[in-house]
Amino acid sequence: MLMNNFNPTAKLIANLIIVITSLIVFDPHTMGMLFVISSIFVLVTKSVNRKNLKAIVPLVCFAVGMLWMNASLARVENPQIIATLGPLRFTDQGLIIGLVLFFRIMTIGITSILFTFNTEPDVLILSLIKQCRLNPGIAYGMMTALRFLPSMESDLELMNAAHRIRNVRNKKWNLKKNSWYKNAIPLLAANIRKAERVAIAMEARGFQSDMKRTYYRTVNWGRRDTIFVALTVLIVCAIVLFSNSMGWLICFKGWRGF
Amino acid sequence: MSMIEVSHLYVEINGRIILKDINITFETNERILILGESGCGKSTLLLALLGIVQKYDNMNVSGDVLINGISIVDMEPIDLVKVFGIVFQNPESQFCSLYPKDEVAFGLENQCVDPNDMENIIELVMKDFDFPEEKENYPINILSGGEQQRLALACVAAMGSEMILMDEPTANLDPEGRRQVIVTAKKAGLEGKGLFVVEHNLESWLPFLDRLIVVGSDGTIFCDGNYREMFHLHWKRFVEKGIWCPHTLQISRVLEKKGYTFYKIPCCIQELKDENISCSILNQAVSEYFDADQKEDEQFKKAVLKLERLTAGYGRNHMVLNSINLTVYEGDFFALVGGNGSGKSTLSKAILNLVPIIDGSISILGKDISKYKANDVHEIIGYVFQNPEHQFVEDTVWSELAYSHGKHTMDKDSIKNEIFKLLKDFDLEKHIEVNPFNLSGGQKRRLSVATMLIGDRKILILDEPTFGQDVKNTNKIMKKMTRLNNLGMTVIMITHDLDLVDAYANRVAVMNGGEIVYEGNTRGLWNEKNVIEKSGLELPFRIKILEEVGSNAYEQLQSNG
Repeated sequence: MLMNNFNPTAKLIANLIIVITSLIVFDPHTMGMLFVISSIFVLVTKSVNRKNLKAIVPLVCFAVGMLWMNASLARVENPQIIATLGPLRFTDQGLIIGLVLFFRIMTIGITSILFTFNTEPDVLILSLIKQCRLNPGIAYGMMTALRFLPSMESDLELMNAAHRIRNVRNKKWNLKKNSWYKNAIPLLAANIRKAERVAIAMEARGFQSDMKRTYYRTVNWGRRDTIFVALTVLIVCAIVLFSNSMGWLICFKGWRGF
Repeated sequence: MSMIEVSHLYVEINGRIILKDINITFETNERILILGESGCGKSTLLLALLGIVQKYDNMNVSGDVLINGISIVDMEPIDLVKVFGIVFQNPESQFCSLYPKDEVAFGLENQCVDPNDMENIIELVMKDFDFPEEKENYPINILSGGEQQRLALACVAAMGSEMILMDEPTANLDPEGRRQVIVTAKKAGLEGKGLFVVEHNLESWLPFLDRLIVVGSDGTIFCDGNYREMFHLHWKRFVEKGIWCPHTLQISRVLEKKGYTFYKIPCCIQELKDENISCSILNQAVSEYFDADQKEDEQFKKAVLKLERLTAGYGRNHMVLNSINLTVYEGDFFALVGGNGSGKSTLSKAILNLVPIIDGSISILGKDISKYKANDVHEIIGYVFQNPEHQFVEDTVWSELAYSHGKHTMDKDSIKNEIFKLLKDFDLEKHIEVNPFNLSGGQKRRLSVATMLIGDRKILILDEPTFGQDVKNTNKIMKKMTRLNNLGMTVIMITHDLDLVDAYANRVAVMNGGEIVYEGNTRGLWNEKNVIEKSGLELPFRIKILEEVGSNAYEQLQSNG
């Protein structure tokens, strides 16, 4: 079972369900269960590879950071100190908040990375046009923007090189990096012109943003996409109901972190 | 076939008159060439035919374009597509999909073609327009310029347009890509598609075009008719105005002065060949026309730049340069040539320490590059980038030049004087307060060269100095370079245009696939036909004409030269 085979809109919906649920829930048990389920899903679909693991690393660092900072610094009532490290005092209540945030970041992070790494952008856009009735004008705008990204990157590189050569005579005291707008102006100028040209080219080929048109490649919504979304809803509901019946469930009421 | 009538077309953009009282009538199966000075509104004319100019708010349009008597303003865009399709100059900025097949399908989708039929149509046009089959699933971004332009042609053909409008379709391509596009366009013309071409690479296009329309600098039609007649009648005015004229025609004019009479005005090499001209006269005419006094190689010059077994690239798996040996001597006008992706830009960046060097050495002025401090290399070598905009850092032309100066070298008056002198030299003194981004293409290019001349750099590298420039600006820039070169500056020019190399460079290196395949004086290169062909380049016109029209003449020239 590969994530790539699902309809991108189905994946997007499933992702959104998990993200929204994790934002509402604020207790370690429910959050932990959501995290475990997401992780199991990642393992079952064999969606981990070196590339997306790399993307997860900074996220893990951030999550661990949140964990210990909350454990030591959260403002909580009646804290019980469970450990000390130099001036830091870790409290039980803080640890719980830290755990919730840790699980939340990880859950949202891995499901989103899973989604982006396993979805072809053009397929997503086609699917959004068909399943979500997205205006083709906006959809093709997004597609063209995607095509511009690599050239923007190489342009920026060239510009930095060009500015470095220009910078020679302004000796060290002035050897700071160019301010962002100095880079932004040429990039913006080039890309606005390019965008205009693409728009003219599209118009010249009979494209109008609110037109009736057919599609060469279509992305269909199959039975397994319905099952996939339904299962996600079921599992999330089951987790929430289960923790409610156990009396664990706490909904988000306000920021309680440090 | 449809009848097109442009009547009293007038276009004004932001208060500037671009086209004035344009009246043309043509049928969509005609093959028409459009010429004109740069910025005279040729592209605007094409967009007006497509009904796009008429839709913009900042443009004031009057007059009409009629297709079979119906105004295009009243036509649905989808019906218009059946008549006109367009291919633009810049290959990258005319696509909106990620893959070639989707791009061809885009037009069909707009026409509401049944998706089941699309596959067949796409396969057919892509084959018809020589799109390489193995690249059908490549992302469009990594295709070469020639492939992208052929894809654009295929897109137009798929929609069934009667006439293909082309806005300088080969201007941004290397000779190989240019050849590919011309072959494909010719095929489309022979198959009955009308062609409406803005182009200045005339020799290869003229044989399959019939009619010439010239737009004057005031935005009116200067002349319109059979191209042979038009060139015959007006060529002097064309040359004066800086409108491209076929070299063959201009040489035939020189020949006429020498007493040779033509019955038919030759507009391409083949036609000149048919005339059976005696070699000695041709030889004289060619050297007179091209003003070919080749620079002699002086012996025992000092090497200013020496690369030995240089291997460089962006990491172990992405090596662009492979064991390069190259020497540039003091006072050289050196040309580094090669097709797209041959590694010539990377080599120039390696010299500037912008690309990691894996193996081998670079010595500049006899000192190894690793012994220079970080920025000292840039103080010796100037680099003019292909896109001048990349280099601009300030808000006015004046401060752009002052920026290069730094703040510590001289007193204020001498700085001022130097900047004024440069501005005057480069025809920019009227634009001191203008933002560099608002300059015209030629002015931008000149400013970017000027910024590199402040200080005392010994070597100047130019990346495609004539890219996107018209005849006038090309000559202007190259004259400046020759003068600088005569004053002792070593100039290294990166290009794929061997005509430029023939006219200006005394030494040349040809790159192909990250290796140097030829290094030596320019004249010697013209004997290495297979090197030129393999590297996807094209012999300069002067050599071609001498070889093809009189092979004896070429040998004579060599023994004389």
